[in-house]
Amino acid sequence: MRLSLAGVKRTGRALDLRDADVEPSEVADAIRDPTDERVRCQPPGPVHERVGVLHRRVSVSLRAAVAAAARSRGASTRHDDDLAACRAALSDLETPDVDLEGARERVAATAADVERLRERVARASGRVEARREDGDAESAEAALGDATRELAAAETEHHAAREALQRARRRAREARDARERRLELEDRLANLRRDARGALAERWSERFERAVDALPFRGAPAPPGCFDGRAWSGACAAARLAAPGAPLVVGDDLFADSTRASAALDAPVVLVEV
Amino acid sequence: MLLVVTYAQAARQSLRNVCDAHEDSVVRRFGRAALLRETEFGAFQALRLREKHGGDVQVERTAAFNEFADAPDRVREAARAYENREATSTPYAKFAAGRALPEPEAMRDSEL
Repeated sequence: MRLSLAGVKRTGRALDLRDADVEPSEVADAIRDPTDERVRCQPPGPVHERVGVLHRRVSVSLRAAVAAAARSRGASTRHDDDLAACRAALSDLETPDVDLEGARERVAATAADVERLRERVARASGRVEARREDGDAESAEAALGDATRELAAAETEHHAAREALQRARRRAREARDARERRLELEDRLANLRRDARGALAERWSERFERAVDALPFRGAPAPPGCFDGRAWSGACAAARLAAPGAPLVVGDDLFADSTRASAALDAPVVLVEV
Repeated sequence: MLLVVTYAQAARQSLRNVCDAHEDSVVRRFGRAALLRETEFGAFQALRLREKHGGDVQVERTAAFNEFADAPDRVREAARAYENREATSTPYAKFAAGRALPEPEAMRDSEL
């Protein structure tokens, strides 16, 4: 890898950046961002998200990390065909918009118009009655006529708005069928991924134990599901199993030497101060 | 009551969080749906969910069903008679034929 960061330029497989003023996360971000010119290296695989940054405060799901490490080495499971089919079905699924807000608002607004105009018609009608008794109802009748016409128009408008909302609701119901299908697929995908992770973690369990044993830390080897050593030593063992592609960012609270870190983790590393 | 139905994992999780945080406002929970009390606060929570998750959240207002006011007598009587039938294997259409009970098709086409 070639690195030019915080005023430091280095090239190699095991770089010591303890003299540079950088956070581990900043280095990791630069490694993971293919457009970031500060670090030139192999692109990271998915396992890099799990074990790409290692120091004493890391917390990782060991089963997931070991499964990702197994994947990075090309391991497969009997769930993979179903996983691929599920992902394909999800990406093919179209979920049309179901936004009815405009239609609902129009129904409410036109209903309010109708209500207001009904009251106006009632008042105008009352005035006509009163004026008739005085024998001077002409202008009141004209006002009643206007109000009645406006009410009729508003009622037509309201009726149209309700029909539009009903049509939109029918469309939304169909669109929600697609969303429901998507949720089923997402749940199925999550289950399949969990099963695949479990299968890989179990199958790679012995390799994980050997990796724990091979690290220069004290810790009793155990399968990833019941490993009770330090979280960081489990994470380092998963990293040793993995082919992370890109360099690992390692804190100097784990290793005091970048070459030894690279050898122990079997990967390119950048050693940083934490 | 306000019926809130969710159609995505994130929306379902948000609904769970709302239900956990505001148990007083929840009448009933069903997996990815919940009935909220019909208060301004219930509406506030439902609208928050819709604001956050758009079309993945459906909000409907439910009404109590009064069979004496909302359904015709013949429907109520048909339900009672059919559930008290002697031969449990008789399908409703056959049961209704020959009795003064509404046909299933006729009921399907009649809105309440």
